[in-house]
Amino acid sequence: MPIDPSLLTKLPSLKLRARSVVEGVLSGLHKSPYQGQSVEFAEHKEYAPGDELRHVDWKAFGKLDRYYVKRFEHETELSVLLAIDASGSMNYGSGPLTKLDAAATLCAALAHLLIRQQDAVGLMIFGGDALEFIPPRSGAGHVQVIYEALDALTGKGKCNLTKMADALAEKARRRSAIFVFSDLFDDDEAAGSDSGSGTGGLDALLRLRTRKHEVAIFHTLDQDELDLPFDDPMRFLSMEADGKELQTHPRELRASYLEEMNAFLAATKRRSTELGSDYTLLTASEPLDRVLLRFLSRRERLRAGGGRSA
Amino acid sequence: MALSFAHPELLAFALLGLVPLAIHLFNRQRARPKPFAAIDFLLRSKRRTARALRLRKFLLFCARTLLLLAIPLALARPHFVESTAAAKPTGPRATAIAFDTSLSMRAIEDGTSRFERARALAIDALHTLPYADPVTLVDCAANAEAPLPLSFDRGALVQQLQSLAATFETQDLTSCLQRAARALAESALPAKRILFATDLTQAGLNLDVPAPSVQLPDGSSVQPDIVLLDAALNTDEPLANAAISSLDIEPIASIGPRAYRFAIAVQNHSGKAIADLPVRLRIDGEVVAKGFLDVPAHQSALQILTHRFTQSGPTSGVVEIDSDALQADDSFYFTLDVPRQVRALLVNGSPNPVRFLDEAFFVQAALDAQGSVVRATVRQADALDLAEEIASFDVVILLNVRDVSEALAISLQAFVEAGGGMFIALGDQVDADAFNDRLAPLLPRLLRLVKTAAHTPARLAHIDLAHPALELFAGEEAQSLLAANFSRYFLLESAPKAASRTLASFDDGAPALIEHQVGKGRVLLFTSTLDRAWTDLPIRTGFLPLMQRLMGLLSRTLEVTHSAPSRVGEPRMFSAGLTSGQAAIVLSEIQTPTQAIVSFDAAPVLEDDATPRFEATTTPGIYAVSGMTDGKPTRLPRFDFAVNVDSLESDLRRIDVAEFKTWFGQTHVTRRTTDGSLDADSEGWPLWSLLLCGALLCFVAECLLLKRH
Repeated sequence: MPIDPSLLTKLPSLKLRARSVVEGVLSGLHKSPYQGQSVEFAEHKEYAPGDELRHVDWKAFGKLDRYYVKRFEHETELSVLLAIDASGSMNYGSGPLTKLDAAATLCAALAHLLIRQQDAVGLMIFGGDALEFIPPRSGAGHVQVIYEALDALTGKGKCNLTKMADALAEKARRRSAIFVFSDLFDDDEAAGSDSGSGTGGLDALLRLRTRKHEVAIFHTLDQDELDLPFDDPMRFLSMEADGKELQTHPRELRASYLEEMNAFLAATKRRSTELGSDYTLLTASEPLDRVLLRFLSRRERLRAGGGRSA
Repeated sequence: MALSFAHPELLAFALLGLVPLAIHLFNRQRARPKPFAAIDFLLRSKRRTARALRLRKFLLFCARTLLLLAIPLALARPHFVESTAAAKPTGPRATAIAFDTSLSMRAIEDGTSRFERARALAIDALHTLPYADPVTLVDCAANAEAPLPLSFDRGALVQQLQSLAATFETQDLTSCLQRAARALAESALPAKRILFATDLTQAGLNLDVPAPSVQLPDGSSVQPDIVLLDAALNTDEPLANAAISSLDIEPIASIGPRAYRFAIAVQNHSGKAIADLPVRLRIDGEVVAKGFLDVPAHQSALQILTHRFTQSGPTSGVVEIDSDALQADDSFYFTLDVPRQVRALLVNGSPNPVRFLDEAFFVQAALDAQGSVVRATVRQADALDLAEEIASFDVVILLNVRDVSEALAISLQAFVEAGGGMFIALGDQVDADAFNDRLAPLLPRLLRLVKTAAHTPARLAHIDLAHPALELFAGEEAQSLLAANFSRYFLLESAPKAASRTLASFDDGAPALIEHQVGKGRVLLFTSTLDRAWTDLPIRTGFLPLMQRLMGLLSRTLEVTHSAPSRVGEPRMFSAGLTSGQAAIVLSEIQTPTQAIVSFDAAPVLEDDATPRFEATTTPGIYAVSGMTDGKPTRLPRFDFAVNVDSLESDLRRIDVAEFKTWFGQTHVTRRTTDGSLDADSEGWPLWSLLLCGALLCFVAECLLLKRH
């Protein structure tokens, strides 16, 4: 049973919210796709030419007089860097959770899940020009540090994805999995493109793939931004302190707005897929455990299909 | 040209046109601030669609504003009026309702008569008039009472309208409008109006005279506004109507006595030909003859029916066709006095074994001819029982009788004075002195001597064609008498007696035929012979009808003819005619076709110089007359008369509304129809309907704009 976001808001701390999400995920997930540090036996496979001889199970050969090769789940320690956009636009929320709340809760849940698997988890927060970075570490105490950083999160300033990508490239020195939580409303993009589907800032993020990093985008939006459900005349104000405003009747602009928004979503998803990144649309009103479960299930399918796993 | 409104008070609702503007301003004020993360997308959308949005908003604003303006404007019924009309004073209007109650208003359309429809329109119009308008009702009927003074009592006016009834008469609607204008002149209000309830058929309106105008106290005149309450439903084509336009009844001798030929003219007033139209002759409620007639469109056709009456005496009947939109003209009533048989005694004073030389031969042949109502009996002049026998005859004819006995002379005098008829034809056997001696009281003039034409035969030079017995010979027919040759004839004393009238005379001025009234009877003296001894008249074509007409005169059956029917509304004149000399007839009452009894106020006596008249011929049908004869009440069927509708009203073609409006010059004319619509006088579409169409278009445009959005 998915956890309603309105129930999550009733929990006093981010830590509890994250645990609720994780428990929901674990109850629906048969096996965690994130098993990094311990090298665990997974299965036997009958030997075929080309298999490494060092993985041949000799004991099995002795018992069965046939060659079997051992297969293992993970062979390396995973380093995950959670990057969250804390610009002013992330403060928008039509439901119980703002976009920032939803992103922070999901971040915390992932951190909890990964550290529980002894993986190293770091956190990078971009709020306007400010940057806060917690290096990736493992250990039960480290998750508390992440919780506290996320708990104190407030949205402010403008979003600049290029700067965010530069900072991530600088901080993530070893090969890492980078999970980005943002509405991708890049201030530079908005100013420079009329099409609304510009992906310049996103491309900068996705170029991290060239440094052997794995990038997953959590495109965090509110349902209002997807539907523009307003009927009455309104004076829309910018949330990033740039003085933009628009007085209009939303009904008159709805068709055109939805056209713009859908084009933006399609371009973002297409670009992410093209550059080999994972794309997840996260809406603040959606049950977060379901989002996380969907994400993990997709990861598991990718891993099972021969793709690279985190 | 100025714009005017039928309901200007509704113009206040035109302020509704400001509602879209108010909503626009209100929305600007109440726009609440809303922080929104995706404002850049909104801004881009706005930039991309700004021009189309502005245009759409402008069109939407215009459509809504025009929609809200057009509806109250249309309800206010705008119309253009000429500048003169626009200068007319506003405020209360003296109003007259001129109501056409003519026959054409009885036409049935869609199950309802035009009269009922006009009445409903008038009552409806009366209720919509402002209470400050004084109103009067003008009935267009010819005998209608003068309109009452203008009144504000709507209830009384509605009662007057309810008591109106459609008539069968043709009405002069032009003079009716003038009467309405005169009624309006009594009001001091400067604004005048006439509500004209009519079907606008052509029969009643004469547009060649000036349009009615209202005389103001200062001597000037003003044309009233006309509201045409159009009672006709189908204004494009006249109603299909066939009518019996005339009926001619003539005796037809070839079939026998009391046989008549009915020539029925049927007029088709519709644009479609009528095939096999049944035409029936109904006597005493029974169809006695029937025919079928094809009548081309807008033409007439004649149907001939014949009927032989089994009995003589006054009778009445009707010819009819199948009912159509206007029923009243589908029947044509008539009265007919079928002549009784006349018994004539021919006293032959010069019998001859050779028939054509016999004195009575030609007369007997003329009176016994086929179709004649006279039955002749011949007796010798010396017959012993003549004095007693004459009492059983209607007419006694003395043919070249030498002399009459004393007893016969007395009998003849008593016979004539009692109402009998006597014809004296002279000849070579006549003893003038004996005649003058014995028959002096009966002779119009005394006999003198026989005149013989010297070289050329004498001829008739003067015939009194005004006399009922001789009016038949008017025109060329007179030649059949004027061409007769007379070789000998009696000259008479020059001093005429009173109550005598010379009906024909010779070219020398000597009388040829003289009528003399004696008591209740008549005597005719012919100064020549009725055989070929002195004249060739008996072999002339006019001899037979002459003798039969003279017998009819003497036997008082000459007026036994078909009396021409009256038209509705025309007074019926009663004259003594050939009944003079008989017992005095006093008219007492008349039963109308509606079974109503109308009594004569003064109980008129039918005398020679008195012509009582009956005015209330309001309904087509047979009017039965009763009276007093010799002091006894009795029915007088021979005075019964028929009344029929005027065929002018059968033509239901309408006057063109535009022509009617032109008649009123620049005056504004409004036409109100039974579907509730009220159009102005402008050509083509009325302005209010154009406004409603515009409003509809605005509404459709708004819907399309909203749907597209």
